[in-house]
Amino acid sequence: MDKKEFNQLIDKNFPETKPITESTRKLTVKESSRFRGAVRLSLGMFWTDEKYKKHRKKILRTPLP
Amino acid sequence: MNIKAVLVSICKIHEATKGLTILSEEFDSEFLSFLQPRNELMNAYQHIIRAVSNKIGLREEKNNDVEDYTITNLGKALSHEYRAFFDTADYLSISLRKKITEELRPFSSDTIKTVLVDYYSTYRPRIDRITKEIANLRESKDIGKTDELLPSVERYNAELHKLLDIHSCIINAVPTLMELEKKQASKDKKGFYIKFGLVIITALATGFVSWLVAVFTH
Repeated sequence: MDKKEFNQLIDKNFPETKPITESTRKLTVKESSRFRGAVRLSLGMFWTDEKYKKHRKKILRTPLP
Repeated sequence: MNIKAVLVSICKIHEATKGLTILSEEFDSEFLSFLQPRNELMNAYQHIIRAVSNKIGLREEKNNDVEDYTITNLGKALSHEYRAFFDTADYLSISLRKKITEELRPFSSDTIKTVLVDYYSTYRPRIDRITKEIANLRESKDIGKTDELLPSVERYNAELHKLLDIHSCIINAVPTLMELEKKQASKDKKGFYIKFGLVIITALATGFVSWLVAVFTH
């Protein structure tokens, strides 16, 4: 990479990360054979944005014993 | 803040986030990973690359702004690291709150009060306060001044470790809580049988007296 190309890229951002949805999770599981990452991720064992939001809200609303 | 001070804050906050991430995966009751803070870390990395490229002369200088550009990007990296920390801290505090609620739910408040003497006076208000303060800091758009970020992270990191201590204290108390609850239940059962016996005896005595009255009045 020459200096000109480097300078064209340095101030650009990575493409924006999309929200983690249920369909993202299903697709990750489906395509897990192509994936070299963690086992939990290939098994789809991660929070989606919506599921975590509901989970968090429910716990914060539940009074402690 | 100078470059070295910002770098020190970035490194310390990053390591604190890593420590909480490792802990939080152990405490998640559903064994799920929380990927959301990693987006913040990716953004922080992007700004660090810009700052370093500029500092080592890889980036073409424009208007002699080397220091400004470097410090601005390191400041942005620090903000992302701060957000990643509070996303992770929020996740861990939520998991701990859930665990504590589930551990104590089967027991009556009298049993809890007897075994965990400080629960209602110290532990419970502290759990409530920490989880809510972290949740508010996570949701807040304004993150404050650059030099206030590291002290804030250190404070909440210490608070979370106190929460972990409370959790292990509760876990250790569970066998005693179960024993006391069992004793209380058998005491209640005994009390019920005594009351039931008294009711039967009173009914029989009343019946007998009524019969006597009926016999002698006729």
